[in-house]
Amino acid sequence: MANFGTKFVQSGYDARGAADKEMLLHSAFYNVGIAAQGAFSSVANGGVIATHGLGYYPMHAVFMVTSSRSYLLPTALENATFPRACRVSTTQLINNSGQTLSGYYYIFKERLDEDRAAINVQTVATTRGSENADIGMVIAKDGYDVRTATLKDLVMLSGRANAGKVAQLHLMHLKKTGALSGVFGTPNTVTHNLGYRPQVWWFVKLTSENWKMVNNADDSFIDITTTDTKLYLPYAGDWCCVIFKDPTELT
Amino acid sequence: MANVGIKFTQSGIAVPSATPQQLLFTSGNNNLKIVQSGIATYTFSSNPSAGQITLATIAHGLGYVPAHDVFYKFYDPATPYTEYSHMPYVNIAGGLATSTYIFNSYCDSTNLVIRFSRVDTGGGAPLNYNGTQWSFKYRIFADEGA
Repeated sequence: MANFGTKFVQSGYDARGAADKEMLLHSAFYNVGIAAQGAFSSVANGGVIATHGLGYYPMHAVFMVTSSRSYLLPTALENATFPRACRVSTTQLINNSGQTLSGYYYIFKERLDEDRAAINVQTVATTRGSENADIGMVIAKDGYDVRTATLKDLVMLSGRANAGKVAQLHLMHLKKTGALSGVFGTPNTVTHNLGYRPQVWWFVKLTSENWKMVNNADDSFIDITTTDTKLYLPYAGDWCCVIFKDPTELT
Repeated sequence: MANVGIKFTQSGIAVPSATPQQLLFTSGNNNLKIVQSGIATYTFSSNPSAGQITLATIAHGLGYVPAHDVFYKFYDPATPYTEYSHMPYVNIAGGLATSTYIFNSYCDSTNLVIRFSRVDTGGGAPLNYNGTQWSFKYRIFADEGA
């Protein structure tokens, strides 16, 4: 189909030729919308953090709060304790951290058990020009006034406002699922071919368990290159890999 | 409020009848919004002893505890290779009874903080991080983390 749709770029880029990773919003890309979010307090291990009722396994993220500090789970604390990831069923988000937990959760619309093919429109990076003044489109959450809403109460913000901050959305490049190799040292690999190292979230569903996020806090290890990402985890089950457009270019 | 706002679907799918899974974007859902991102670096000038080191402190100025995400790359001049991955990073040297090395991150209402901790639980041979270079790509979201 022809080149049509809506684009918003980061301030200073030309929307007509900007690369995918320079977009704030693009109507050709999946955006990771939030289905539910909220704070929770003192949920015992095994207890229900939230009931989502989506009827499928959704992508999710849980932050643990302790001593006014917020950690993305799973994590490793300074005292060498390792709170585990929370897990999600088709109806509930459940504390699986191994301890009583307070924090904040996000349940996204995205299913963890289906693929989304990569969409590439423009992969060649462009040069950022001078940044513009406060222009663009602002959408606030239902019930909020866009003129006064704080950043967290905006659905999106294409221009510069609120002390010069830009609210870049979490645009998805692809989502892929598969069966874990279950073999020590044999990675589960997803090719992205972006030419740069993107932000990646991995989730797993071990045999007879629910879905949970994994990083390097437990028995898993994640490797990200300019062409692919690998998850090392020597257990049987399923995986879901979410690759975002946003680059993680490190020198 | 009624069903108003902006929706985008995949090409060829009608907006009025699209399922939530077919919507690429809808203003009816909130989104994680990246408001600050960047790279912080740290090079160990000596081998760290047991304890904690703050590797980077990044002010966000939001006035509340935001959600965040950090990725890292580690470079060891003595054994040239690069690894790039999702925080935290944990390395247990000499088995469970020796030393545990932890790189993690947290946000409070003022800063994103990237920390190193070494916890000794035995007398084995520790790792040597002297000279190793660490880069951290961080994202701070406008959305709540607490």
